[in-house]
Amino acid sequence: MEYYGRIVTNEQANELQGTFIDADTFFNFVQDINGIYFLFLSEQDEQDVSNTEYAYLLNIPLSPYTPPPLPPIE
Amino acid sequence: MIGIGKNIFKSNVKVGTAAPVYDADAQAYFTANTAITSDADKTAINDFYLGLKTDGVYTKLKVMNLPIWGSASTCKWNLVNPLDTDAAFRAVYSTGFTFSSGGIQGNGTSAYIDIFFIPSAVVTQNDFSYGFYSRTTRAGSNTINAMGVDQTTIRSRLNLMSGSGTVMTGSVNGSDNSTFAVSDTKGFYQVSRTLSTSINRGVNTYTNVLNNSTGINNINFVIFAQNRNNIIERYETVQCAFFYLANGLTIAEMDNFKTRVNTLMTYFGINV
Repeated sequence: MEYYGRIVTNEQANELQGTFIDADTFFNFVQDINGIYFLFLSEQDEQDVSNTEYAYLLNIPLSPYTPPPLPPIE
Repeated sequence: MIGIGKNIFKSNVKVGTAAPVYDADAQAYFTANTAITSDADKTAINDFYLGLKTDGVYTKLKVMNLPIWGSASTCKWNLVNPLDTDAAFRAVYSTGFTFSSGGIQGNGTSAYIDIFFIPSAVVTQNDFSYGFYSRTTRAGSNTINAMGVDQTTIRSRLNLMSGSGTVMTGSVNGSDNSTFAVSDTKGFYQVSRTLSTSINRGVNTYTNVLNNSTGINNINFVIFAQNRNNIIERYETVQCAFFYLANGLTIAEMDNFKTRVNTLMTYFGINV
């Protein structure tokens, strides 16, 4: 399965990680295989974010994401 | 003059149907979750509450979530304690979820739910269970967990289908996973411990298997991923219409719970 997300800077990820965009939804930035931070938003998230001070994040183009390897479940 | 002629109060009398009276816990949920407006929906959910109480399951429940209302704000409520507080185990959602009347779907990369549930603060080592109702399929994977927490030697976590594509894996306060044969990732997955030496686990049918408990986790148990030593990872992709955490359930209680959940899902047209 191919994933596409928005690349953000380390500073943005560290600043906004866990920040709530409304009362019930918070940002979760994740790193790809190279340690680059990505933001994944559903269509509903995009609508919610568009009404906030974080709307600028929607201007970031989508880029392919390769997850970091994980050890199998033991 | 009063009393002469027609009854002066008569024109103000309205004949109608009395408002339905619901179970007090169900009513609390309806009061909190204003997305539920249909009397028919309320009756089905009320019956669900009553059934769980009849079965003796309700008193063991710590968290129940029915995330079929289309948004984070309407899917945050713990049916057992529908208060908008962390202490009541409300659900908060990370970005990445798709909400619909069929449930919530993860994106497999970043979407998870925090319910502020630390097992050691709520349940005990040999008295803990949890469950996840999945409506969709995914391929087998060893890098996905539907829910859980992992502190290396103490794990409570659930993988709906492992990489082999033939078994689920689950653990409750143990270091080892136990398996159960599955054909896909749909149905009501449950894992429960009521003894130090074994757990009950399965999907739609449940059986006991030897498995020793090793302790109890003291960090957050999360949904749609696992919390491994305070790192969230192994994000789930299926659609979920119900999940719970509770004290340990017997196989009979798990069977009854499944029947109640299936009845509710059938009412909403989303049973699998």
